[in-house]
Amino acid sequence: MKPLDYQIVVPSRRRAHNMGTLRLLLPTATICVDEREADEYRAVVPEPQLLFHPPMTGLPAVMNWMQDAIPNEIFIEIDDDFAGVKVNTGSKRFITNADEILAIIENGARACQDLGLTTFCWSRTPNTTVIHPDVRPFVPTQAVCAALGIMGAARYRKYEERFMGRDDIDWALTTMLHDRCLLADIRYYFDFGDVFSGRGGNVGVVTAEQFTSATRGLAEKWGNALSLSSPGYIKNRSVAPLRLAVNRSNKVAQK
Amino acid sequence: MAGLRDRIVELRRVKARDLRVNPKNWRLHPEGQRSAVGEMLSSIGFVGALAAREVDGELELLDGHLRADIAADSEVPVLVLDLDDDEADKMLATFDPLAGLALVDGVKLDELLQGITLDENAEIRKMLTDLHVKLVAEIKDKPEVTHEVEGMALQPHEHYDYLVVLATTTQEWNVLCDRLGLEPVARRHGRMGTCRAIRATKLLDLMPANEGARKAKPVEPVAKPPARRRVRA
Repeated sequence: MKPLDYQIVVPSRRRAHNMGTLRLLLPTATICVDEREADEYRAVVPEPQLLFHPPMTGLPAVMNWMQDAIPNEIFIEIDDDFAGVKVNTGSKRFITNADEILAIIENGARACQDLGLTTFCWSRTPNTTVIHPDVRPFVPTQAVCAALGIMGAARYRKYEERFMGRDDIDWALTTMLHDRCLLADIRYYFDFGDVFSGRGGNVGVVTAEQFTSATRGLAEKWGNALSLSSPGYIKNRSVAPLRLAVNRSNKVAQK
Repeated sequence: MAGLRDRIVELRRVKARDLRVNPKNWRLHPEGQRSAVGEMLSSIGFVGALAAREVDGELELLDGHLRADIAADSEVPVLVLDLDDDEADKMLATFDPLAGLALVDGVKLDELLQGITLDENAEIRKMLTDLHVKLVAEIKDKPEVTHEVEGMALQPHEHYDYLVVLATTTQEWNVLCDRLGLEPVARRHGRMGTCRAIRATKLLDLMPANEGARKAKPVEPVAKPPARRRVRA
């Protein structure tokens, strides 16, 4: 069988200290770094694994640059604070074995390719009381961020740079509009530690004003495809709530 | 705005019980508010002065009745104002409601709340929760976020349901892949299974069209039928 033509890319900023862990988890990943930080990363990552991008601001711009720079059919992006994969079903074990993580990624890519879809991802929460992965292991709508794969027509799509900090929501909704659905395998949760904790790679890049402006811009662009209500299970009120309101479940079939 | 008058005569520190209650005070203070204000006064103390004016040689309160009541025998800071009766009534009627007209910048409020702990007191916690709920409702009610993006809604013919077929033996997996025209993928790791997917259209092409056709084309027996489970997206 034809092997998958994919490349895992990790855009990184000021996280050279995490590269040891990251390379153990994703030994084949390419680390993409701003050329201004080349020295810090060269000290901890072998040169062939490094990819330097010109100075630019914000993840959407970096994602667009990487999509152009990586020639492989399937582009897989994983954030640089990746710590392992939590299994949301059955044993609920925490996977740190590189081979197993690659198997999960390849399974996702293979299934997405088989179905002719363009975007695949995994669960954004380990809270199984909310997502019920035992009953519904795959979902066709989800915000796509932190760990995702892009292939097919979506490889030529660009992130809108004005949605800095909220680019993931825009990408997911564009996928909904153009490709109708995506493949989210919610049996697995890619763990990135505390999200929205103020310690991420976006800190210092996305200001509160940009974040608010991006939120407003998204609300204007996507209208009622976005929900501004906060899900009851979210206790952290550090960010304005925003989630997909696109429904791909068939209510008639569920009756 | 220029040329505004300064009506503060002095800042005086007096015992709270020596202040005269304004007979026209219209504000009622429920136990929850008393508890929350008491909590803030005991943890931080006075950060703003009460407001009063001199009437018949006594200081009559215009703002700060609850704080004066809680402070009781303590000394409290009081701004003595130079107001006539009409002005005093106007101030009494509008001082708190005017402050209440301020809107909330949710992002800044959330940023502020991140760095402090305010949840010891149930009333304060409730006040902040209500504030946040109000903010969310305001954002939600904005008309510009309610328009519909053309083509986004689920069309009548669209279904995103799926059928999961779980193969529990290598034989089942190989037979399934063979019959569905999928090449089996080599396992990468002993604990992690492999995964293939197939579109319903392709699967339907491979399946007999009706019961008669299914009977006419017997299916070779498999050692153990694959467990099937229908799950809806």
